[in-house]
Formats: sequence, C-alpha cells, structure tokens
Amino acid sequence: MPRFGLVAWLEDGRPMVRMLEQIGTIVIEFIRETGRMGIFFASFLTGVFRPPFRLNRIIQQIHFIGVKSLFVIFLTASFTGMVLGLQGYYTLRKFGSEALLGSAVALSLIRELGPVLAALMVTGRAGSAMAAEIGIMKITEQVDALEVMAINPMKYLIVPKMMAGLVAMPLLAALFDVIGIYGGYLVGVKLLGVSSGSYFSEMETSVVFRDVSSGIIKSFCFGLLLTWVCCYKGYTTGHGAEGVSKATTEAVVLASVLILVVDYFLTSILL
Amino acid sequence: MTQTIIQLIDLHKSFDHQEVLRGVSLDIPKGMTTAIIGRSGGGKSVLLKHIVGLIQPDRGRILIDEKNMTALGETERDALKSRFGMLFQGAALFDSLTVFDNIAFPLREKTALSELEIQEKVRRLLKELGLNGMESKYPAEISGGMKKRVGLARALITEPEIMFYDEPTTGLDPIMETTIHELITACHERFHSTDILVSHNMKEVYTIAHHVAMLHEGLIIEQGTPEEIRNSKNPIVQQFISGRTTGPIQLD
Repeated sequence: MPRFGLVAWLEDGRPMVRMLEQIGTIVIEFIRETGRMGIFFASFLTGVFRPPFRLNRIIQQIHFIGVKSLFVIFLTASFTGMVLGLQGYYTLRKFGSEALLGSAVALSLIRELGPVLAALMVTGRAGSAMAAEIGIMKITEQVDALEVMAINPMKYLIVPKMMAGLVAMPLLAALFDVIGIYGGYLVGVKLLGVSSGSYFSEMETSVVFRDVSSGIIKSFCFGLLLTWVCCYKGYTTGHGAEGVSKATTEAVVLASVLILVVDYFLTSILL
Repeated sequence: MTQTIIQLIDLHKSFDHQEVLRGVSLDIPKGMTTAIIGRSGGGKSVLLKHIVGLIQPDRGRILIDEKNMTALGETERDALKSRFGMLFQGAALFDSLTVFDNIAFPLREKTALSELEIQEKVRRLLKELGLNGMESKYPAEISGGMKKRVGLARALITEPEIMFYDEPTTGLDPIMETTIHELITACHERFHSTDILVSHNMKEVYTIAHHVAMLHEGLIIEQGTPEEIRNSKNPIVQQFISGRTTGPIQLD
C-alpha cells in the first residue's frame, strides 16, 4: 500500500539524508576555502621575504591604492565629519555640553570611523579593481605566461599589492581623520556656533595616544585584510567573464564583511 | 638516432573526476619540430601545460634532459624554465604594457642587460617580425595576427632552446597563417630549437612538423613522420586527418 505525506517522508529517510549532505557540503567547502586562503597568505609571507624585491612595483601599487583613492577619501571623510558635527551637536546640546563636540567628532573618527570607512571605500575602489585585474590576467593566460617565464606570479602580482595595502591604508585612514575633523569643524563651529577654541582644546585633552595607535593598528589590519581577500578572489577566479564578475563581487562583499567583523574583535582587544 | 630532450612517462591527469590524460608516454626528439595533434578539447593543451610546468600530473614523470621536472625544487625548475619559450593560444600579452614593453619584459625581468641593449634587441626583433611602428601600441589596439607575432617575439627574445606553440594560427586568416608558419620555420632554422606544436590544423602540421604524435582519449595512439601519419592504417588517425564525420571517433 503506498503511503503519502509526512509518514512517507519520514519513512523514506532520503530527504533527511539529502539535507544533511547539503549542510555537509557547505561546511566542507567553507573549511576548504578557509584553508586555501590560509595557504595563499602563507605563500604571500614567503614571497615577502625572498628576493627579488620589487620596490618599483610596490610604489606603483601604493600610487594605485593610495593616491588614486584620495578624492573618494576626501569626499567621504568630509561628509562623514560634517554629519558627525551635526548629529553630535544635537545630541550634546540636550546635555548642554556642546563644547565637547570636538572631542566627540575626533574620537569617533580616530578610533572607529576613519579606519573602517576608509577601508570600505578602498575596498570598493581599489579592491574590486584588483580582483578584476588579477582575474582577467588569470583567464587570459597572462598569469600562466608569467609562470612560463619563471616569474613567480605571487611575487610579481600579489606581494606588491598586499604590501601597498599595508602602507597606504594607515595613511588614508589618517587623512580621513583629519579631513573629517575639519568637516565637523565646518558644521559645528562655522554653522552651528560652537566656539572654535573649545572645539580644538577639548579634542586635545580627550584624544590620547592610545586612541591614535589603536586606529593605526586597525587600518594596518584592514589594509592587509582587504588586499588579501581581493587578490585571493581574483587569483582563484572561475571561467570567463562571468567568473571574473563573480570573483569581483565576492571579493568586495567578503572583504567588507570581514572588515566589520574584524573591527569588532580588534576593538574588543584594543579597548 | 636523434637525441631525446623531453620524455613523458605514463602521465595521468583528471579534472573533477574526468580523466584527461590516461597514461601518456612520449619522447620528444631534440632539435626537431614535434606536433601533437588531436581533437579540440582532447587534452593537447593540458599536455603542453604539463611539460612547461603549469600543471602538475596526478601520476607519471616529465623528464627534461633527464631531470625530473615534477620533483625539482623551485630554483632548479626556474633554471629549466628559462630555457623555454611559449606562444599561447590567445597570445597572453600583458594588456597593461605596450607592445615594446611586452617584448622587453622577459629581458628586463630575467637578465642583467642594460636598457640600451634591451632596446636594440627588441627593435631588431620587431623589424624582423614586421612589427615596425607598433612599439607604443597596446595589445587591445592591434589585430589578432599582430598579437600572435608580438607573442612570438616575446617568447623568442630570450632565444629559448625549447619553444612551445599552442595552436599558433587558430583564428587567423590564411595569409597570416602562412606568415606565422614561415616565421616558425625561420626561427627553428636560426636557433636550432626544439619545437613542440599543438594543433588540429593538418596543413600546418604537414608544413612545419618533423615528427607527429596523435593524442586521442588521453593516450598517444600513433606517432611518426608526417608521411607515416598520412599513410597510417589506424582508422582513428585516418578519420581525423581526413576530417570525416563517420568512423570510429564518437562525435559528441
């Protein structure tokens, strides 16, 4: 006699097995991907310390990641600072402590928003370009061509980009902080009438070296993280144009998510 | 008897459970042009990539001058690779570099030549390959035939002992095809290199190859001189070289 519905489903057992199989596949794929990323990072590390050192390529990449991101950093930093000035002013006014606006803006930028937002903007601008560039080089056999010429593509392509990320990111974050502080100054002091003296003097007393150093450590980590993810995704791209577009999207999404996740843990360590 | 320079011994390779090479054994004679023929997607390019070290075999050995390529350390393998030159199917030019910089690339990266010597060498080769006036163009701005010639120039600039050609004329017009053939033959005569050619174009194979091996379903099923291949009794070889749709080869 044929059975139907839930009874048959349970007796059958196969859907259950299939579901478990699917979960298993996802878990295994996750572990594999993590392992591959780990190996990629390890070969980056060996590439860093073994000659030839390509200083020219690193400088080129610092120009690409750093200098060419200046405009977008300038725009986002100034508006972030301005909105912080605005929001901070209205919140602080409730407690009658508008004078603290300077330190509120500076602390939130230096400790948190500067490194994180700068890293997110660089991911969108340079990270996506990196993933696409490496991906296209991969599918058009340019990476193979390097290898046939006995030029290690890891050392030639990846190491300079990741080193450049390490150098450029803290500088961009610092710039973000400074521009943001002046954005807050523009709104808080020039528009809303907080006194210029208290804006800067409160800032001076409340920002300590530890705040600055934690911001720098963060942006170091983000610089490495975003170039690592984007280079890895580009380097392991699939076939054809679709493969490259997928790799680019995944690179930006994964790098952005990881920046925020790592930010939480770094904050809890550095606080 | 000619000397063997490359020896492939029982190469196996699978991708995602699909066996591409199922035990390829082949001796490649020194100083000659060996063509590897076979159907598209039959693993010819994969075989070539094994020899140049881009793919590692699942099983088997690749001996180059009796040195086991798969077991060498990075430094020794790089030393071996510096004797190679390869013309890729899509030319694989670096698209962020100009034609001149592409050709100069291997010299700048791998030799201690001065920029003046490099410029002179590159200009001479550009002239020989009929690429005058193309120096400052980018790969995206030149035609397919020119890309192939630039790719050839980039491979030849280091005067390699062993040249690999992965379908050098696919997608080119007949005149450009003949031009490339003449260039390959001229280079072979000048450098006395060992050439390995992957192709499914029989006209090309008859024109430039001295030795032919047919790869079919992951195995070398026949080898010999072009004349021997032309007169082969093997029905698979006969069907392939005459291009018939009926015969022992299953069409998919």
